[in-house]
Amino acid sequence: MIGFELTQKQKMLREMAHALAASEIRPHAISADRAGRVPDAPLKRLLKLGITSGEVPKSVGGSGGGIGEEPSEKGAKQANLTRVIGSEELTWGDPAVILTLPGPGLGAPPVKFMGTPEQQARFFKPFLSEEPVFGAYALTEPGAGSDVSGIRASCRRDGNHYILNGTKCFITNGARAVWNVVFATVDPSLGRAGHRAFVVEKGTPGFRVGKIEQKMGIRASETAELVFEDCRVPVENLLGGEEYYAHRAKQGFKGAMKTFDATRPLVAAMAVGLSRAAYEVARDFLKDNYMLSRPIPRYRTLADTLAGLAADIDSARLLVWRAAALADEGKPNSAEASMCKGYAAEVAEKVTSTAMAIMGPHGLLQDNLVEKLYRDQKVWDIFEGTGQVQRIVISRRIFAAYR
Amino acid sequence: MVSFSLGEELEAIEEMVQRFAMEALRPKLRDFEVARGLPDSLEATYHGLGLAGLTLPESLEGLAMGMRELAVVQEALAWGDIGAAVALPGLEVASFFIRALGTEAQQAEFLHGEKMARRGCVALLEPPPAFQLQDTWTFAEATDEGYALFGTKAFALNADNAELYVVIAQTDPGTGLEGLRAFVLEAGIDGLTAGEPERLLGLETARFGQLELSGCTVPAAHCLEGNGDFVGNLGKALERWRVLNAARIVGACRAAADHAFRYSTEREAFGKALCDHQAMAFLMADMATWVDTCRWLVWKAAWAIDVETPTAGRAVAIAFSRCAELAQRVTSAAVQVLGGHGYIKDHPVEKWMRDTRALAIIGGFESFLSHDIADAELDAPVDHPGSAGGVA
Repeated sequence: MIGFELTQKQKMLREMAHALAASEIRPHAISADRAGRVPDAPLKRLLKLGITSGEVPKSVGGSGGGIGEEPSEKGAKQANLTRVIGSEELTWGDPAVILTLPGPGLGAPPVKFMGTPEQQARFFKPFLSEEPVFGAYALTEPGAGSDVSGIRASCRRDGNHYILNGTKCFITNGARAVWNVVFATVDPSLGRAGHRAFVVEKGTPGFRVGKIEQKMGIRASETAELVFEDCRVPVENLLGGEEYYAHRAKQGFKGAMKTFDATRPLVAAMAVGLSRAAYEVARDFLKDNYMLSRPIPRYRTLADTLAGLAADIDSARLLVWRAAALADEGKPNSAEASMCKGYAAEVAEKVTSTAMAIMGPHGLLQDNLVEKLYRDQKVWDIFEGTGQVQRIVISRRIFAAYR
Repeated sequence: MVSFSLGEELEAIEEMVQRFAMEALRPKLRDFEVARGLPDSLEATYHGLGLAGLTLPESLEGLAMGMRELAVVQEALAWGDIGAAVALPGLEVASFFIRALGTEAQQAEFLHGEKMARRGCVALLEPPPAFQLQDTWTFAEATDEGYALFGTKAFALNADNAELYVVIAQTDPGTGLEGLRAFVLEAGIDGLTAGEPERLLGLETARFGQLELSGCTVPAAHCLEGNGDFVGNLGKALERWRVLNAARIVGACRAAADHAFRYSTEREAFGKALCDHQAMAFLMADMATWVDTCRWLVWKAAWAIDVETPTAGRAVAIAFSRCAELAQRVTSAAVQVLGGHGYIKDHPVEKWMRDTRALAIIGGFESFLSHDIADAELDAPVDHPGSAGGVA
């Protein structure tokens, strides 16, 4: 039956995540943005509590229960829903810190779905450490963003190695990562069928970090350029081994792409969390301030504006929950995952910009959290598929039902 | 537990109503509109579904279901024809007011069992522009027999053909909301006359009109005192009414979106199907997202009423105001997808655009709602998880 009551466990988790966000994350939001990096101390504390950017599978000694995996515990239903609830709360603390959580990150799904058991054991092992360790996912190139079939980084076999050449850009945590999952092509004319995924470890000859990008927002999150110049990657680091590509040449890495169905609701939940953070600052500003001897909320336009933002945030959250609930039931959710991602990103832009406007010039001050959140939010309409890519996915699904 | 599933029983009911909507309502929606009402045979078929009294408790021989079930049923009906969904007889709306404001004896007298299939009229509004309930002019004068009602009600559904009326009137002029009471009137009593149904932008299948009360005598036993908090309980009845209408709006929006999606795969322009033009595809992706958004907001509001969360009022206000806004976008976009064909009456999309706009305005006092949300927001505890999310 239709219901919106969280389970006791989910409520507890939400309270815990919120408390953690308030005590460990929020206090660093503005200072980390200015410094351009998140200090180690809060990351270590989060890591200790098991909050990471991607779970290590049980088979290699991790906690399991990661994205796209069956729930690890018996009775641990609604794994996706629970994750989006946690994601919203933590991001409420600060979006850039959340993007800097230690762990294999977006590199985890390809290793898990494409890697052999030996590779999984080898590549996940560093993350069993109690120190912050990062993995990263390198697909985007200067000339290939949303259209990943256009990647030009090349790979060719040379004895027991592959030789990689090319440049990857906008790679989150790419410089600090112990390894990057790097996508390259054996022949650009083959499109996705020519793609190969490699785990390139730090220190591999011919691999170096280029510039660290200066960004409009999420400045505390590291965004790196990776350069490969005759980089020699051992064949054992080709994810899945040669056979994987021989048998599944046409599929390319559909498996890895499918993880978007699980990650998009998570990313959308972050947009909801950051929207809520901005909204609450503006709401409290209204509560605490008086204008012309009348409490500001009594002014009709401001009340209307505030109400509209609250409705937007609720709407986005329900779309996120819907997409997550479908995933938990094992039902297709590509369209819904794209709906919540696209919509939540729009809501984040509207809420943060309106929250600033509600506060007038106070909203523009760099000491005001909303000023930072407004800069941060824009990337939510870009990464994990732009708003336009989401609409492509949604519309394809819609019309498939009528054709 | 968070769930978007209907469950077996409700799924079966939804399927039944969907079939009725598809077979009995959709093919005839223009006929109903022209006739300004539904044929008797259709009303009989609808009664045959046995859905009257869906939300009444078993003690009143109802089906003891909640707003969630009612929302699902009404969305399905409105998918067929939103005008018919509003016009179909039944005391469901009147029952919100009678149950919230009346004693158990009164509830049993007016709502019991088969009586639920009667046509009801709830008369709230009055003719002055920018009318608000505290400005109610309709006056209930205490007499030896009970009350005598004087005044004019406006925009009341079924004003000219209801079998049972619930009229809001002022018993103590100058007291604003505090002096309001509701009175239950049977059709045909002396002093009760109705005008011709108004010609409105949309929802012509339903009949909204004026009601003249010139000294109607109402026994004191037919005065609904409000169960200790007339204004608060009236607000609760209004919340149910808004959720019901929001669900109907979702149904019509879904119909409009479905129609546009199908049309776009069949119609060609510049050598390819409309849906293969990205400008059209993106518009329709947004339509699908908006319809989903409204639907979940309505479900959440219905759930909040059913389980009586303290933030139900807020959830209802958000659901209704957002449905009102997005309905306009979805239905207008549907007309746009069909272009000139959408603007003429050969396709139903222009009707859905007019009907949803009409219900958004007449069925929930849209413009008042932002205050409700804002008040709830400003009273919310600061720093509490979900305080802006209303996760109760």
